[in-house]
Parts: sequence; structure tokens; C-alpha cells
Amino acid sequence: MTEPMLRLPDELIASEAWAQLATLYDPELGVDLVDLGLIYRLEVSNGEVRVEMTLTTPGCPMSDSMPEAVERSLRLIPGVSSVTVDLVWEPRWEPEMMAERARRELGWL
Amino acid sequence: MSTIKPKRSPRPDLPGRYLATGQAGFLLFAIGVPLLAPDLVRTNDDPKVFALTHLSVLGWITMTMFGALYQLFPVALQVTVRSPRSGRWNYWVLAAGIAGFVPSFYLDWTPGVALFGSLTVGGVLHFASQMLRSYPSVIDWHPMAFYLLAALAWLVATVGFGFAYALNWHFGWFDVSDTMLAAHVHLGLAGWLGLTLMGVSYKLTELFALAHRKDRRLTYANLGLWNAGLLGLVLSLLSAPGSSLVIVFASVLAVSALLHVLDIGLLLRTRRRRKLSVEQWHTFASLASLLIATGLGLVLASGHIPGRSWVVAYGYAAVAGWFGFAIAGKSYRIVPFLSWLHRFSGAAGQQPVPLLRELVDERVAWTSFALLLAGFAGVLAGLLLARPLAVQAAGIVYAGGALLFAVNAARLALPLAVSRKSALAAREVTA
Repeated sequence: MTEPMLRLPDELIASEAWAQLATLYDPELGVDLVDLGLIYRLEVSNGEVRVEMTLTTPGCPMSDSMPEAVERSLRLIPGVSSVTVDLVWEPRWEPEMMAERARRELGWL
Repeated sequence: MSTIKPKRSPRPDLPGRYLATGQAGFLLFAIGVPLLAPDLVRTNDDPKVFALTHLSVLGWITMTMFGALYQLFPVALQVTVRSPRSGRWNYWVLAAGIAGFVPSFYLDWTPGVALFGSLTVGGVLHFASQMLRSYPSVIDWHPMAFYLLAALAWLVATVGFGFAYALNWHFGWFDVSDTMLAAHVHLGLAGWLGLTLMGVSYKLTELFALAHRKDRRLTYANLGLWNAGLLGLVLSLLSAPGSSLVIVFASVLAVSALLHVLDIGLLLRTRRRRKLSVEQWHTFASLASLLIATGLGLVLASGHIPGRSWVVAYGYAAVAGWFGFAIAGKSYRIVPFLSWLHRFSGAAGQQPVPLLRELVDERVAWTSFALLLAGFAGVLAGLLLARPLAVQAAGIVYAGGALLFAVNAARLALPLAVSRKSALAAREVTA
């Protein structure tokens, strides 16, 4: 007999997903993806997670690995049935999108 | 909504093999300066000096730039490099060519210069064609794309001239004057290496310092000015050596060099990452060396050459200063990234992974920088004052800095080599 899979409500999955993404760091800048303002949108519907994210520049060397890392981290959340990560360049990321904590970390404030 | 599919970069072993060979070239160059100090002070026109020059520009700098471009070109311009597999076998052609070319120069063995020069030219042209054939699918036309395009054109011209001179050295078809050699040197240093470094610098400064400057008019104007100055200088060196045209076009290049330093300075002022890293201090040393080389170049272009060692000092300021500091500094970003990509990117998102800065020993990096800077200044002063002992002593200090740099790089690169070995072993077991 298989154990019934733990399934969180969509709102809780979304909240867990944001928390999970805040543990993912840009290895070059040393700031997490949420504080960097790289996550544009996160939607959950029936356990299916869809993320729209960007990178600091279209020529970012992390463009191969960061979206994959996001996908892997979100799949760890119980109840997530699928993860779609869209890497977008519009609107273009601006430093002003960073949270105050990220600005402090980079010495901007 | 535009969605860009990732996976444009080749596997890290492609850039890695060129970067590792470039590192070996750097060490050999650093050791070669104190060993050849008496020759360097005496004259620039000597087979041993030619050997050291080609070891540095081909074995160290060009190899490193090829490796860096295999990594950076696809991600920065969002293009897939054509036929990465051929880049792997071409490495062996190029490495064999340079490994035979440099000793042939040193031994004054003209058949070797012609034979291994042909191999080197073949390898260089293959790389250039790989890059040029990739251009039609470039998506992001960043200024780096235009700088690199011009640099590749100059690279072809450089090896064309060099190949003709190498064959001529063996067959003796015509007399090669100092100004003809100067044309070849400037095609390589200002054309291929200079424009590549400038273009890559704009991109990497934006990336690593989070610097964003929307107004790129100065960057593009300078591209035109640099190319016009270089074309004029080369043509005047070939057709009207000793004329005022040489100093006119050398001045155009000098103005362009100043504008480039200003341009990078303006870009750095917009940086959001305020703390200056060891990489950026290397950049400052590189730009200062460019200004020193520019000043020396103007003196030489005026025709008032205080001594033959000033010609060597000019080349040394460009090679060890402008390019050397830039390459060492940028390596502190590029090599950790390659290592991280290979070792940790697959685990990111599932378990904690280190940051890039945690992969580099900062204290070793700063010590290496201090030694390279002190050694560079000492060698330059020794050359200008024609003091072989000073060149030797400072050259040893510089070699110490190069060794520390290599230790730091090897700490990062060795796990990469081990992983590759494991992958090959796994493939054999599967087969």
C-alpha cells in the first residue's frame, strides 16, 4: 500500500516556493534570487508551479544553470506536480529592482 | 514574452584546455624574462626575444583568449559556437604548432619556424572561422560583438603577415625591415589582442560590477577611432616609414586609448557593486599599463629611440601590463565560474553550494597581485634604464606572482580535470 502523497494547498505551496527561492543564491553576487529581484512572477495552480524569472543581463554566464536550479528547488516542495520556468528578458532587469537587503550586501546603500 | 532556451555553452573542457595551456604559457613567459634579461636589454631584434614574444602572445595570451571566448562568446552574445568538436581537435593543432614554433625561434631553426608556423596559422584560422561562421546567429549585438568582429579581422591579417615573414625567414625572398616587423606587431597587439580585450572588458565590467550605462556612443566612436588609427599606422609603417604619418596615426591610437580608459572609468562609476574586488584592482593596473605603453609608443613613433631596450619595454608594458593584468584579474572570475559550473551547478537548488568567491583564496590572490605589480614595475624600469640585473631581480619577483596565481588557478582547475577523468572512466564502463 502506498502512502498518500502530502499535498499542500496552492497558497501554501506558493508561500513555500518563495521561501525556497530565497535560499537560492546567485553564486557570483552572493545574493539570493528573490532579493535580487530576478523572480518576476510565481503562480501555482493545482500543484503546477509556473515561474517567470530573469537574470541581471541577457549575457549572464548563469543563464544555463540558474533556471535549472530554480526548477530543482521547487520540485522539492511536497505537492508540486510540475514546474515550468520561463526565462524572460522583458522587462529588462534594472538594479533598482533589488531589495534593500541586496543593495546593502552589494554596498550600494 | 521572449523565452530564451539555455544550453548554448560548450562543455567546460573546451575552454578549460585552452585556459590551462594559457596558464602554462604565462608561467613559462614569467620564468623566461629573468632568464633572457641580458638579451632583452640588448635588443628586440634577436631570435630568443622573438621566441619569448611569441610564447607570450600566442602560448599565453591568445590561448587564454581563445578559451575565454569559447565560454563567453555563446552566453554573452546568445549564440551557439559552430562545431565545438572541431575546437577540441584544433586545440591539438594549435598547441603542437606553438610548442614547435617557439623553440624553433629560440634555436634560430628556420625550417621549424616555417613548419610549425604553418600549423599555428592553421589553428588560428580555424578558430577565427569558427567564430565568424557563428556570427549570423548572434542575438545580442552588444558592443563586444563588434569589437570582436574587428579583432578577428585583424587576427587574420596578423597571422597572414607573420606567416609571410616566417616563410621568408627560411627562404630569404625579401628584406624585412624594423617597420615591417612593427606593422606585424601592431596588427597583433592593437588589432587582435587589444580589440578583443576592450570588447570583453565592456561585457565583463557590466556583468561583474553590475554596471549599466545606456549611452554607448563613446564605446562605438572609440571602436571606429581605434580601427582607423591602426589601419593608418600599419599602412604608413609599410609605405612611408619615418614620415610624419606614423606619428599622426600613432597619436590617433593614443587618443583612442585615453578614451577607452575614460569609457571604462565612466562605466565603473555606474557600478552597483561598490566594493572593489581584487579583479578590479588588476583592471586598474591593466589600464595604467595601457597608458604607459601608449606614452612609450608615442616616443618610439617620433623616431627618437633612446635605446633598443625601449622597444622591448614598449612591448613588455603592453604584454605583461595591459594584457597580463587584465587576464589575471578576469581569470579570478572566469576560472571559478567554470569550476563551479562543472562541480556544483548540478546540485544547486537541491543542496547548499558555495559562492564563486569562496572558491578563490583571496589572500593568495592579493599577494600574487602585489608581486606581479612590483615585478612588472621593476622589469619596466630595468628595461628603460638598460639594467639587466634589475630586469632579472624584478623578473624573479614577477615570476613569484605568476606562480602564486597558478597555484590559485590549479586549486580550481584540478577537480575539473579529475571529474573529466571520472566521466571518461564511467563512459568506458558503460560501453
